[in-house]
Amino acid sequence: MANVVIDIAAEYTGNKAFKQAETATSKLEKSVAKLGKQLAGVFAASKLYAFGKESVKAFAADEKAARSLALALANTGNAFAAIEVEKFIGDLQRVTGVLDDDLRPAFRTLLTATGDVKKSQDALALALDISAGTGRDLGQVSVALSRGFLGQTTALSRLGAGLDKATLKAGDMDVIIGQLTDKFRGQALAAAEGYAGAIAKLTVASNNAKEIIGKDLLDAMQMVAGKDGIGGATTAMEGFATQIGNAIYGIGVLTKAIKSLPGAGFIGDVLNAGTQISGLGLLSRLGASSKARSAGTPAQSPGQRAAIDKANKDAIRLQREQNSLKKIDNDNTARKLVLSGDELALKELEKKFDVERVGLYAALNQSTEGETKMRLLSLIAIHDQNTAMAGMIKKANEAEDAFKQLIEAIRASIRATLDRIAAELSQLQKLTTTGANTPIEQQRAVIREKLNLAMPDISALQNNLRLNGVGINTASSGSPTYIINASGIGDQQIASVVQGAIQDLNRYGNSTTYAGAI
Amino acid sequence: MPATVKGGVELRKALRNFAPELGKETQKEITGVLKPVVKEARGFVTGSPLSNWAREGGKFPVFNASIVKRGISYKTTPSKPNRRGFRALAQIRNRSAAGAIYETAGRRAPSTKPSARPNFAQAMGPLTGSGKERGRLIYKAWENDKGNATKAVLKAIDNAGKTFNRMVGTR
Repeated sequence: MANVVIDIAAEYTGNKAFKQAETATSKLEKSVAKLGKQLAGVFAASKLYAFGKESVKAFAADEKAARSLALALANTGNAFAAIEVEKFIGDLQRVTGVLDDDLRPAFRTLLTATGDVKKSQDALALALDISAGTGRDLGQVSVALSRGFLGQTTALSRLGAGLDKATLKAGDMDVIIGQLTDKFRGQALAAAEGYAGAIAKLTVASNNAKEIIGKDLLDAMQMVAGKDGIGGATTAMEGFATQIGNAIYGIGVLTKAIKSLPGAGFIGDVLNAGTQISGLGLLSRLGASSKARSAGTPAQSPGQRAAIDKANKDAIRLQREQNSLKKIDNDNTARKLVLSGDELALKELEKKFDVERVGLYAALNQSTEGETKMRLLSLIAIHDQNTAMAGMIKKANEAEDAFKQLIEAIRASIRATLDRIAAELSQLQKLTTTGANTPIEQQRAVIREKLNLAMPDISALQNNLRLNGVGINTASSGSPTYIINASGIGDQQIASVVQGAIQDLNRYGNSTTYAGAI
Repeated sequence: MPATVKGGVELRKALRNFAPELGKETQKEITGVLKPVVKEARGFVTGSPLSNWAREGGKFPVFNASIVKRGISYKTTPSKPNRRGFRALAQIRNRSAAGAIYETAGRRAPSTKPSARPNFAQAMGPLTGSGKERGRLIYKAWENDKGNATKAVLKAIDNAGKTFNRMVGTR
């Protein structure tokens, strides 16, 4: 944000930074005092702490040197040889008793000059011999050699290696190396044989142990620190070192006391076994297993390392062989595919000029019936040995059969339905046929009889009507015409006759009203 | 360099706790002194000094006259201590980005920043004032005021202190 202001009437109230510095100083004083008290109380632990510090330093230096060498290898285009070079340096260290801390810089110097791993390895071995023979520092010898490779032989002349001036002036490194090799061959190995060599080897082992412990200490610190960082772990580490120091001191006191007793050897064995099963042994095993699980490379003996290297090499060799075999197999498959493609093309050509096949196709084109077509297709499939087409024809035939069966089933169903309808029709015909002794006629007779029984005697009615002066003419055909002669008959009589007739009709169930009347 | 006083912050605290009315009066008095300066400074903001500066777009702050005017203000409460440990009892401020650019552009010589375009500062007109206290808005108004405001503010604080001491003494 923009901050353009005019201050009016300012007052000095003291700098914030001063106050912060004061606070920080007082805190530091308190911390230092606390640390002093702790250090005064734990002198034994401070030794262990110092060893831990040295170990961490040794590991850090070793790792730095290894990284530097790896980078030098990568920069000279030899990154692939990093593992091999590390192994070479490890072997040299073990054989000559010269620390890898010295070997790595020397190798790096030589590699920078030569740019070749093999040449650098030979030169380093020679430098070790010269160093052992002349008593010069390995670094100095390697620098002289590297300058010689670059054309400057002055440093080589100062090594005291007895090289003649003519050779040095010529600057031919092959000749110079040849002379140096003749003079100093085996010096490094010889130096490693005696007591001095043994001490050097012990120093190497001690330094390696320091580096291993330093790495584990750093790993452990990282593990303890967690998200608070290394700073948060230092206090915990000091406390832990105090405890360990006290424990070691206690073990020392106990061992000394036991040694003074008769039969101490046996007790020592028991104690050793006890430590294996006690908390210390368990802790050691826990650490080892934890390290094995973690991503870091566990500490290995040279023998183990050699065995692992051998196993890795064998595995790589086997993998390469497998790969080459797979390649051959793939090539064969590709060739087969090409051949089969060519064969197919040839067959296609053959088909085009096959007279029998052409005839079959012509017949197929001309045929109109499905069955004939299928037969012709089957013949073509047999002729071409075309299994796919045969399968299709088979399926088509099966489908046709199934269709036929379906049609048959439908026909049978229709036939059965028609038969049932015919039977019902004949029954109906029987029922509706007229004539003597037919069911209809029989029914009619029954109805007629019932009607005769139900209807009154018409003649009696006529007579009755005549008696009363009423005549009914029934002679004419069709609808009966009733003529009533009502002369001499009164209205009451007519009404009573009609009333009686209506009552009779009603009594016999004959309606006197028309259909639909209410 | 502003005039320094001693005990100003303490006086303010004392006024707030023991004589709030007097504190308010003092604030009003200081406000009355600073307001005309702010008003004059705002009067120097007319429009965009450069025709393209008022256009939107890009990361460079756009010159908007109303925003620049709003950014010019005064403050009568003590500020936070600066790096050297001084607290201002009153301030005149130019807080907008464009206002600050307009205020200070061209303070440095063009040669100190090769990529800077001297035309940019030259087009805005001359700076008023001396040393680091050169500008075109609040510094110009402050320069025109000829230190009267400072005197008045100091006098107001002094009077308040005296009055407070008298009040405390009479109690």
